[in-house]
Amino acid sequence: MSEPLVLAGQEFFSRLIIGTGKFASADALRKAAQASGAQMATLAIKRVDTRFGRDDIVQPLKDLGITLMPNTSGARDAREAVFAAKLSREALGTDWIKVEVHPDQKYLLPDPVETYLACKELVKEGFKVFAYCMADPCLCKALEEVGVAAVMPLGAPIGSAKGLETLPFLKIILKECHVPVVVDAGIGSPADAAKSFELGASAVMVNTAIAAARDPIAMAKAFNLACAAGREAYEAGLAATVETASATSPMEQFLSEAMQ
Amino acid sequence: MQIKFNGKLQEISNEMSLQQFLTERGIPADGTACAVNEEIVAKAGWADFMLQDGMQVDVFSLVAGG
Repeated sequence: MSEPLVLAGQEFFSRLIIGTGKFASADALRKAAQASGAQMATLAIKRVDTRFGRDDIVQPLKDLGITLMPNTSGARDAREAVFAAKLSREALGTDWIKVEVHPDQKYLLPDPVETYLACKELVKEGFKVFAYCMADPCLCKALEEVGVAAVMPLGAPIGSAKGLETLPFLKIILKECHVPVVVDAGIGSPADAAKSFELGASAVMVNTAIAAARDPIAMAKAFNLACAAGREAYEAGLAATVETASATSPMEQFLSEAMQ
Repeated sequence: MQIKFNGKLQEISNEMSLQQFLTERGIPADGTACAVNEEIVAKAGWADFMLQDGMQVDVFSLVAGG
């Protein structure tokens, strides 16, 4: 059994956090969530459209014992993010918040300045803040200093499934940050998740790679296995890499001696 | 009087509380947050909060998201 993950004082035995967007139905989400083994999932907050009934995804996830973390997706600056966090707290009764501030709609890249300002304010107001951010080691350290519960640097743009394109910077963040590091956004395959763990990530967050798979439930299971394997590999300690060959079989010259 | 509800103007005939306004529109308290004139009104205060002409009421709930 791998070490449990502790986020904001709460213990988790799964290190996979799932996003709940893009699933074909609430039932598909519930089944994928179950197959993923995830114990935490994110939600967004939006204005109610009274023309349509609510697609209740909250209760089915709660019934699976999944901790729900709202995000501030849609916020274009710190002020909107703080407002969304307070709305989420009122709606869901949780002080956990994933801060996302992305004014640019094309790449949905998080604005570093507004993200920092929102996180600082929300920490002051008693929220447990999970900061979605660029894979910028300086920013992650600054967020750590204002007291976020975790940093969530991106691997690639949201929904791009491009994998760990920010790898060199993720490595620095994983080495230098003392708060949990959740690799978020862009993870496209279970291999990306396993790689994140092998490098020392505390958790990974996955949405599109599961929801947009041909079989989301089977893919959720694949991520479950990959996360567990990657973390166990990290705890087991990877063998050091070397530049030259290092024999795995005895190298006595038995063949040439036998030929003589 | 007129209330701007989630960005659209609505006419209401009688004085009513925020709680009555939301109940009439089938909006449950559970999983909902409400702001009036961009200030969040806690659920415990909905029943006592009387709406006035021109107020902006925004109602939010949790939806799927990553």
